[in-house]
Amino acid sequence: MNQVGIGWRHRHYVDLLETLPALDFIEVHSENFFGDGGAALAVLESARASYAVSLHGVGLALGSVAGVDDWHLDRLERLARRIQPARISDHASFARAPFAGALSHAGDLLPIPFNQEALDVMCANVHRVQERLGRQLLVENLSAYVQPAGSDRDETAFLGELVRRTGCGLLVDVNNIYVNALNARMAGDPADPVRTCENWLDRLPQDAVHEIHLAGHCAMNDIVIDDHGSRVAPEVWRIYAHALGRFGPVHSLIEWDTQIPALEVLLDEAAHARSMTPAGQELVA
Amino acid sequence: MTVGLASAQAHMLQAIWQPAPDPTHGFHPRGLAAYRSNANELAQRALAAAYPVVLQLLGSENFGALARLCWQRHPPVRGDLAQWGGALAGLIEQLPDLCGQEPYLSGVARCEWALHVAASAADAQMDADSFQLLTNSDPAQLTLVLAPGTTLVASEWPVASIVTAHLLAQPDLHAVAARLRDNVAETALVWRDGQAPRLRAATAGEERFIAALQRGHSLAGALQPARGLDLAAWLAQAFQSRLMVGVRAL
Repeated sequence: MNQVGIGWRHRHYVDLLETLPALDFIEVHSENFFGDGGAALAVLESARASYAVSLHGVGLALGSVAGVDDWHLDRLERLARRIQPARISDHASFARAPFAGALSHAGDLLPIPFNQEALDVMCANVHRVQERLGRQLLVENLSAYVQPAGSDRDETAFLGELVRRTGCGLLVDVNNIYVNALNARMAGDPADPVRTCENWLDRLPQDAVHEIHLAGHCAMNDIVIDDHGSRVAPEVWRIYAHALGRFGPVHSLIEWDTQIPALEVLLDEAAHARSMTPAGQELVA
Repeated sequence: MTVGLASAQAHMLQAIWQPAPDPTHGFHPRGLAAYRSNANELAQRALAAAYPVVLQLLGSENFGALARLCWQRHPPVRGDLAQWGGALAGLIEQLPDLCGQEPYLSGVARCEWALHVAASAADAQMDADSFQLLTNSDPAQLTLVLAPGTTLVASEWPVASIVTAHLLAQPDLHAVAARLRDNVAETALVWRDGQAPRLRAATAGEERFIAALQRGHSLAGALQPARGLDLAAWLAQAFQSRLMVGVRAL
């Protein structure tokens, strides 16, 4: 059976601790708990007493040529020692670069090209993080709204090589690959987006995927945004079923970051994820 | 080896952050607009979390413009956006129109940043046993341990009253208006009571006393510039509100 969790955000801090619903894990954004002390850390430690916790970062900026910030790594390592998380993850993105003469952090997940130069940067940064943490890091694929010039290979080949060279694992966000496929279709790609995503999953190394993210997206007239602000789309559930068929039971997370609804809605999505069976293995009544 | 990629990453950041989009940046305009929009939302959301009173005083639209300006002039350097925004008070002071309209605004911002920092300051356990030192030791050989995040914010305006009126509805806004009319200056005292950040106006003697303690003075030494401070009453109040969490021998 799938091990299913939810992204635990501020709105649900009290609800979750008061009701302690049955979940296999909760996931938090690491950076929200980087303080030296205070209420946020105390709340997380309370939750840790009842749940396995996964630390999911949005700020390591693993694809940055400028490297990983020592300050950030110090705090992540301190938090990991304190919380003893089940998994630690971040994204295949960059954020640290010079702006107006100073090294800045974009506060966003900016895309990298899929080529040797970017791979070497990612591998060096992932190596450094794993050595510091003394454990495996999971790296998540992005939804990207611009395509950096210079890619010479497929994203899955890039991620596969990253896994081979660093020993990291992958966190596959199936909504992200669907958002990318929808935006590619808007740009003229005639391929069926769901089939595109299934093919994408089929090209990944089978044993490298340790977590899957599920979320909603927002389709506008001219772009699809990965806003984590709605229920998981039916097409994404189909892609998820395909992923389960390829990777087997994988820790799976419901993410909801904007227009966050009542906790019950997330738990309902989590129950749906738990009930999913791999594509092609549906029970026949 | 990575000069090409380094340059490309700086170029993308420039394309997203520069105030007026440059049509020659080479990126898909709609995609770039999505990142620009996200940066604007992040700026406003991050500052609103730290500066709820400044937000109330300016209104959402003006606050959003100020947040975008702060992002442009003092962009984040850390991947934790809670660390960003400490430059807001200084930025406000560089905006003559804003200072002219609301001259107390930068002081309010300094108070709010002190509250924001106190919220995640290192925890400290109340050391009740250590208070016995006050009864059996020389005050020249003792000092007081203040709560996490203890900070003084001096202003020519009644900033403590403005902040607490907006956050706690105390005092009421009529009383704050009267203090503004009367040019009442206040020094705000910020500290963390357990897990709760607190703020109130410090008395003149208290301000000098705490400032001296923070400079490392002994209890006796800190009392010298704080003439008129009723130490017994202050200790009782500081213990109750957990402004003071222990006593330490020097």
